[in-house]
Amino acid sequence: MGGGPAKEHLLCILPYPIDDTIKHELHKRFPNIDVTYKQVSFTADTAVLRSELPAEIWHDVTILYTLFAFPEKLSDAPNLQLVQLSSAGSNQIQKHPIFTNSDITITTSSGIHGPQIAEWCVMTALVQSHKYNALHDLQKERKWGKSADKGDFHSVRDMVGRRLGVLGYGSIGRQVGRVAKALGMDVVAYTATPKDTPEKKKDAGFIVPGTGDADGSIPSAWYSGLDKESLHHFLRQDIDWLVVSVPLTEQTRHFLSTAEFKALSQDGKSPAFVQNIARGPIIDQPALIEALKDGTLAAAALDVTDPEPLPEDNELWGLPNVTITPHVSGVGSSYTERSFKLFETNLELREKGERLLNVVRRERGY
Amino acid sequence: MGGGPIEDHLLCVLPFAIPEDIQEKLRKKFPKIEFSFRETSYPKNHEDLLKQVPNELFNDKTILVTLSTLPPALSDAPHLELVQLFSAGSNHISTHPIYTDSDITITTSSGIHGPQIAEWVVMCALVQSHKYNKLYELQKESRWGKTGASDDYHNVRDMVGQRLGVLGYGSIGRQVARVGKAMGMDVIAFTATPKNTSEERKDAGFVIPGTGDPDGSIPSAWYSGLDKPSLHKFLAQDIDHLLISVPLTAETKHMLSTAEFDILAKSKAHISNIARGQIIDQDAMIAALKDGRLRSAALDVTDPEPLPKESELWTLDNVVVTPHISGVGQAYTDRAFQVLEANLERRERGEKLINVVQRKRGY
Repeated sequence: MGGGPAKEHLLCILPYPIDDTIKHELHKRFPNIDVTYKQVSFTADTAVLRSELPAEIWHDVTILYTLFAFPEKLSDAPNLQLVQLSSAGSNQIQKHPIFTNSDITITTSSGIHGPQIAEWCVMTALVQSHKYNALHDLQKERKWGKSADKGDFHSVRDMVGRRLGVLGYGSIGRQVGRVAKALGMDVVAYTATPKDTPEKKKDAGFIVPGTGDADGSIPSAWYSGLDKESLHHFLRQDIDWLVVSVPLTEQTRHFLSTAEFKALSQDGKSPAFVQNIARGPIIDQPALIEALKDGTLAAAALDVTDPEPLPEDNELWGLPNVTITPHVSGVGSSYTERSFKLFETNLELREKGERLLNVVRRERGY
Repeated sequence: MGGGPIEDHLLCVLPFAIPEDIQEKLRKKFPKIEFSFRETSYPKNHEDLLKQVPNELFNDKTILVTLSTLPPALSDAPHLELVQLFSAGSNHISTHPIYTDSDITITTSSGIHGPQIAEWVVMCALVQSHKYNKLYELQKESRWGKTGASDDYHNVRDMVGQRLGVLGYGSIGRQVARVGKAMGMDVIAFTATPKNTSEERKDAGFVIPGTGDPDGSIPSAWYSGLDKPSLHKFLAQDIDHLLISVPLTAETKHMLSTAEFDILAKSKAHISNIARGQIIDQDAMIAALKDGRLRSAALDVTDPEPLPKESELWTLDNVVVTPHISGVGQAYTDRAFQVLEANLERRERGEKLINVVQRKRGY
């Protein structure tokens, strides 16, 4: 490859420092890419972010690796060809001209969150089913809380033979499915569009080694369709534990409301456990609260709410069978490392002229 | 199935109501067995127990299904051939003459506890690694406790690539291994005696469908040997999570003490104990938890039980203590009777029973 290809200019703008080892690895594998690293504040406020960055910084950029920081106008970044988001979601860019007024390839970091978020899902499910909060309170009182008259714990039921429904069988959903299967559960999957061939069931994205469901063999049944009838058909499949792991789009806003909770719980006869690790607005929150209060739903665990932060006076905080965590399930020590591994994979694919991973399809919104 | 002689007299005496449908199922399936079911209330003392289960009841019995109720003397049960325990452990009867002075076959309900106890192990490990206690406290205050990139949660490390060491690769250990593997962990197994062939690595006991590790394929490496050097070799394998799932025997009492925690310090292990409190030298463990040699511990069993109020274990930040409930749950009874059913089938066919206690080794 004489003469060498045109120099790529990569700008990495992230709200946390990047390990030297990551920088070295990047430089080693891609010596033809000029890399600039900028650390900015952890905020989604694009105006604040731009104030921390010199205006000229965008001009030569061909590849942007970012979370919330974007050039104000397309003309500020005339050479921009690829935007790699460090998040799984792409909502934060969808009103930006890069999304609305250009063909610049946008890719996400979907695929790196599975292990950590699946652990959160399993943890909060077991915390509910094993009554961990009560055990924790007993421990704080130094009380060995057992007596001959059989405490509450005899009613604990393990997951063997129970059914996990994964609403959105993507990278995160597949990892929850993997662990659920190991727990002895049956898994049923839901996707927007039908996956009726083995090829379509595959996970063609980035998979953390030793995790996920690469060939889509875990679910015993697959369902699909964004229309209400299809959604209800899925929800009626005797699901004990529902994980919400769809992206937030126009079609999935308030996807789950009163009618859906009723369908899920067989009209209240079989109250289910609902978990949301995707986006708060996918659930009609007041409807959720009602369903929890009247027993239609057995319990809920939410790492995302509407809005965030969840206001102090919201009823969800104090409902007995509800777990709330402040959007932390995907945050962890491996995030940066995996995000960069995925990014490097995309840089390699780009070099080879092959299709990138996690390309956002503007028409479907994710 | 017509008349036919009664070949066995079975007495089932348990401290809870034995479901009617189970009683009926057994009677139908084994018409040559005469079944007597007795529910006892938790006895306040030995005399109370005798009142509930008079000695004569044992007189003609060939099979006894029990938790801890036994005929006081061997002579009370001259025809007894089989004792099926409703527990996984047998140490609670190990000083009774049936154990010490007879050859009566004793079988346990090992194999039914895996799913529930494995869930407890996973739950506690995740509660600690994801700092759930803090999140629970925040929720109690209705507080959305995030301040930005610099808070605690960025240090949360998931299980991918971490090593689970299963000290005692039995039924419970195998189910924890199964879940650990699904979470991306590497699993290494320890057994008392070597398991060098694939045959030896199989789980020959009762396996709940969809769980466990029936063919022993999950561990990437196997270790064995109750002597200290062998144990230490295993513990030195960079173990991030150590599960204690060995039975309590003379050899395993205080198996883990200062020397062992010193080895585990290299990997700052998290310890889960769901077996018996006395397997751990508890004071040594407390010291190791306080000075950081051990990262954290989750204990469903302690020494003694109940754990006295003054014990530091209650309040150490990196310790979860629960009152020996990890194995208690709805499915217990059903599954224990499934083991009984399996053994009655084998007895009928003259086959080897499952979960036979080997008195010499203590379990």
